[in-house]
Amino acid sequence: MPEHPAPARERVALPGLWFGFLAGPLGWTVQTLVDSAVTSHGCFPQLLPLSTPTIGGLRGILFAVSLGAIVLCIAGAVVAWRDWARTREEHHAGSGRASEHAQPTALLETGEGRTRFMALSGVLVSVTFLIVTVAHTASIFLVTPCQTV
Amino acid sequence: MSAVLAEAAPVDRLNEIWETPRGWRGSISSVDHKTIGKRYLVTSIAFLVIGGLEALMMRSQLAVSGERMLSAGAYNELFSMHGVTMIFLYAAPVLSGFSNYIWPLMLGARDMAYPRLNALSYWTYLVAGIFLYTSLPLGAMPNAGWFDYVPYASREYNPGLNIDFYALTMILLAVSTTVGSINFITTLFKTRAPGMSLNRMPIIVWGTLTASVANVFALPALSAAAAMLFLDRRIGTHFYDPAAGGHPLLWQHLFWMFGHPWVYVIVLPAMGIVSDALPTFCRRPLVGYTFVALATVMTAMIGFGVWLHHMFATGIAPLALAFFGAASIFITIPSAIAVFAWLGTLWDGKPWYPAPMKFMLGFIALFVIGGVSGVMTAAVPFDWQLTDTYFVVAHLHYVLVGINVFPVIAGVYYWFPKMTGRMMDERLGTWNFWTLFIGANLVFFPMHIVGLLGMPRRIYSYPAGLGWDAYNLIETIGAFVFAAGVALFAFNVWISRRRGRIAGPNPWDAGTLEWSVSSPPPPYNFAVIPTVGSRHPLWEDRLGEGSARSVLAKGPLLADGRETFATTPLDAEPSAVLQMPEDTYVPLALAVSIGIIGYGLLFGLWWLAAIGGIAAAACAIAWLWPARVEKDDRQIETEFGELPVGSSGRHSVGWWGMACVVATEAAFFGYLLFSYFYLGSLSTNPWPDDVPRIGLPILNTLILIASSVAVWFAGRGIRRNRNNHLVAWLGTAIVLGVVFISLQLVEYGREKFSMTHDAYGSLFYTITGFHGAHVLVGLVMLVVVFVRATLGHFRPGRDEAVRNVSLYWHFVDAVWLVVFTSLYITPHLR
Repeated sequence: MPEHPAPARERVALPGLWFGFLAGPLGWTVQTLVDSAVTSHGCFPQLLPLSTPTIGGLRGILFAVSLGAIVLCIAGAVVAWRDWARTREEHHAGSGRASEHAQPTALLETGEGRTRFMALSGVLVSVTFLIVTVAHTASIFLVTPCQTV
Repeated sequence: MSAVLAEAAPVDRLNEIWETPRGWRGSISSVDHKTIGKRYLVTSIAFLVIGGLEALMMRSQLAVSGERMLSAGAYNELFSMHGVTMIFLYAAPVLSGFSNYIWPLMLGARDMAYPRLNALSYWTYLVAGIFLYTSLPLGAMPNAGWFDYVPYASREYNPGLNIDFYALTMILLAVSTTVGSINFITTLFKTRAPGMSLNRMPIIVWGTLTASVANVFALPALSAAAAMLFLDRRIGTHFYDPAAGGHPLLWQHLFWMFGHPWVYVIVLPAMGIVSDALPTFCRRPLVGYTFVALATVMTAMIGFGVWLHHMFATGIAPLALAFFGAASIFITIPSAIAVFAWLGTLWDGKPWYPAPMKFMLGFIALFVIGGVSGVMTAAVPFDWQLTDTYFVVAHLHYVLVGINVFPVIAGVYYWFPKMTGRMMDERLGTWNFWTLFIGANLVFFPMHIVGLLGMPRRIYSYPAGLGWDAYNLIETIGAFVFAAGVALFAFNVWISRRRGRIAGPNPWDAGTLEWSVSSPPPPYNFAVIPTVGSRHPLWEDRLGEGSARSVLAKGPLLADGRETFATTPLDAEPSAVLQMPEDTYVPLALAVSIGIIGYGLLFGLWWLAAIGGIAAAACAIAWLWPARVEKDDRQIETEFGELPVGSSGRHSVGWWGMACVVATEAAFFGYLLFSYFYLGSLSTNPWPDDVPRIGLPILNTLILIASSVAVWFAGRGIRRNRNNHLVAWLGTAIVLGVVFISLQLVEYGREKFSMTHDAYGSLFYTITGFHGAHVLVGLVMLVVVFVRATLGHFRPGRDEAVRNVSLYWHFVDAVWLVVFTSLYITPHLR
């Protein structure tokens, strides 16, 4: 090919790029599935709802899982950010306006080179899922776990 | 092979290679993506019209209070068929139509990765549609809503064939959609033009890719739910029967685990249509490409974690509600990103407003209204007040009509010139837009108000004096105005097809690759394979794109048969020359066979189902058998280096397809095992009351593991160029697989509980039975590969089929370990 679409691909490891992209969603998925299953079973173990959960320390368990999810989101964001920083030279490799005409929004409009596109994607995905995960965690302390019957 | 100028390419030869013969034989055997795409579009829009007629009948009934034109039973059937038709037979297939038609043209390929699978997807879809509407003359149309809640749908309350039609149609459509999705995923990752890296793809491609991945993981939930419902109704199992350890809420969980991702399946590609077409009419690239591409992906990701918001009123623990309520609110972030990107593109561009642009602007307005009402229902207390009212009907129609129908019609106006070579009539288009836009708002906006006034969904009539009459009359008038708009659209298509202005290759001055070829495109799509250097190959000079340049007028010819490039997943570097299949009747025959199985199961004619099964197996074997076997390791020299012909290496096109099959089947077993643990957690009795014995299953597990080892040795044998090792180890694996199945049958005969004993028995036999069916399919594949090995079809580097069957067999064995642990071990731990 005349010019490779990812000239900085050797500078970052592909598993790192994928980790940056998938760590946040993975953390949130585990948090949602485990926390909702534990809550549902604790508050509604069989066919009748309870006002007090059958599982002792329910909030602690939920918070521990959520903390793990938050750490995973942050780790994804950090790895993706480092990859993004390492691939600055791909600034010229993507589609969009040539560097001498580049506007401040060029990065978001073009994604620049493929490596940089994936790294930036990892940053954005991780930060978004961090927000969702933190909101989820906050609800553990703001909402009564079981129905008041 | 040096690069050839496009104008010097031997187009007669390319035509001869790629053109489908005229006549009915060519028609039913064609695997051309353009033909299949147009068929999808026409068929799905025909179903849109049918679903629309059903809606008009319902709106006529509800126009005034106390109307009795339709009985309650007929009304139930109509709203169920309307929903099923629109959601399953129109909204998703119409987007498949667009994607099938334009993907290879946008991606710079000569066809989809699996042309035969593409044809199978369409024919199975058509068979499913015909199958569903067979219920009309039989007077047994589905009547429990498009979501078919149990216990309305149980045999006890719904003894006719109605729900059986529904359950089997869902399974047929799942087959169609799954194979179509696998085709899209593989096409995207393996057959893009050289240079089209991930960050250079059009947004609609992101939309369809995301929807396809969602399908792979979501559809198995529907298949599992529908299969269990059919078994409950026809065999007497107890998945949804609380009297025997089952639970009706299991249906709701499974249905919405599928259903909410499906909502995004039917809107994300449509949003992609707008993201690609709107910049054309703003004369500038889309603002925030990276954000919009990511918004598409993130919407689908979060879409998997919000299914419970359809079940807020089912008595779930408050904290669990809070988790899903929060996710349902945050899913608006990516949607809002897309809206702001479109507005930014309008703001920063120089927009002009032909008919497709009008529909896109209408879409944005309806999307915002539908989105806002969606956020409102994400708030749990608000949702409790509105569940099962017309407010929800208003929301879902704003979403589906706004985000699907409007972009679809915009897409037809936009790509009609490419498909036919003629422009659609602009004046009719303007009338068409305003009729549909006014009609949609007239029919759906008042539904918010009557919903807030307390009018419930799915009532066939209502008394006067509740304050609903005027709103309902307006809605009915709006429905007929909307129908007039659809008729106007159909008329415009018909008249423009005959008398429309000649379009030329690029009538909108668009920037993507499909506009670089003639309108309509030639059978081979591209005379030479293009090389892509940017996201807008046709706008590069104007935009002052970076140093990379697309090369469209010169490139590799690839004309020794139906050929196109296989490229690498991320950067689209050429890795091989693919040999594509010729036209064939097998996809149609396979789809018909699957339909015969469906009718056999529906009417309880087991012999008919068996005939269908045997025919399907014969078709599958014919499919798997290669049309030609390369006798030498042919390589050709290209400007991208020396490339193998007919085999694409370790992670080949076939491997990608098999990997997708494994993923979707893994999800299927995941949903079955979720059902097992969910029902187990709800059981008030010791469950199961008679645990299975584990001696024989342990032996069987060891046998299956040994078969996996044998398959691994078989693969190693061919990699070391020892065909006799390949044959011997494959034979060993086949024998071990047969022994496994035999011992499983022995075990079934020894167990004290039956499939109809209780929910545990139902789950035990269903899960192990489905696993056994997978082992049988694996055995058929192993036998085909074994026979081919004895004929000397494989060599090192030419062993795709061995690699693919190995992947499947290892998967089947891995699933067994999870099934074994869940069904046999966990009962002993209670």
